[in-house]
Amino acid sequence: MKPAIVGISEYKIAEAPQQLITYGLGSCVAIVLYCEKARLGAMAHVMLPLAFNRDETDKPGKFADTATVAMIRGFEERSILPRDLSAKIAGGAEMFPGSYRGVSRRIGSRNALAARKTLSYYGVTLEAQDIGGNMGRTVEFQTDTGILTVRTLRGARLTL
Amino acid sequence: MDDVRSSMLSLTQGDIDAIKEICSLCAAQAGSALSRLAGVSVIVASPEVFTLPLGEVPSLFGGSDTPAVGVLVPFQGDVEGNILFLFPDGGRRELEKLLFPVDSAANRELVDSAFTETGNILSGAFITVLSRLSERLLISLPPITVKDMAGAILDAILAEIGSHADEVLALVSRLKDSAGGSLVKVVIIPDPGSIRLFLQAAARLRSDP
Repeated sequence: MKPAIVGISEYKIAEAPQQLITYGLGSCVAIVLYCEKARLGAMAHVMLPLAFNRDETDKPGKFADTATVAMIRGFEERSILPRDLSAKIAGGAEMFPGSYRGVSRRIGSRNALAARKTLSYYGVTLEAQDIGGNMGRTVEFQTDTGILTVRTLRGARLTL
Repeated sequence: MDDVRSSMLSLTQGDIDAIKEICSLCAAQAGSALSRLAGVSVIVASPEVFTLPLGEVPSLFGGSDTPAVGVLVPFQGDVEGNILFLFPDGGRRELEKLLFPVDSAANRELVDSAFTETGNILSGAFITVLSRLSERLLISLPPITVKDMAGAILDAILAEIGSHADEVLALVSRLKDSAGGSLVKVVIIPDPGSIRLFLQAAARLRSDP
């Protein structure tokens, strides 16, 4: 089965055995939710922390808070509650540490913080995370095992 | 792409035409400066101007996890912003051949910083032309060079743009030798501060061509 590729500002839900992949995370964060019992996974590739009161209903995958809520709603539509979910997050790097001029300075850590807070608010357990540093990451999630693999161009390969 | 009108970036076809004209001036200036550095003729092709959705930017250089070299040039002054110059990593050998066709000890030392030097010269040309046309004081800060996945390098600047719009202004140019060979692709992404400068410069160009 072809993997489901999650692009920037997107989220997708997939049933086992379909794999979820997102490429080239820098300051963006991949948020993965998983229901082990149903072998159902969801992945978002978020770019910004909070939607605030923007009308972003057509792009919930862009923000950590709205993406997390949209994925939780997707599970609820399948009668899966937040307490039955676990989460893993990866990304949130600072690719140009200390030098970027503008509001997106340290955006990676703010993305990760927003993801953690939203997960906590909905009572979803954060099982594992690989956040920060200054390297790009590609992440692959196996919906049949719940394993998240993080790859970098520097040769590192981490299993969460 | 010529007929694209981006409502999210509020760019009209007139703005895009004026931005193309500004880019031609920047490219000519950058070509002269690179030629002086290399001691041979280097042509910077006038960039193509694209507006495209945020998620489609990686398609300009082969995908989000394609190895690339990014040179980020922050600037400050009357306006603060950043311009990102992104080179596919595979263009390294071509860039070295283009800039340092004569093998010498001095050139070998410069090879390692070829991308930074090129980004520095390209940004210098852009900042000079934008400063002059927009009548704003702009000071370039030292460039920062990163080698990693193209998508990861783009993230900070896309987040900056994404907090204002869902579309990106991207300029795609190529560096060539006098015979038109040794092509090196460069994708240039201005952030919202830089786009404001382009628009101010474009307005000035239109009022005083």
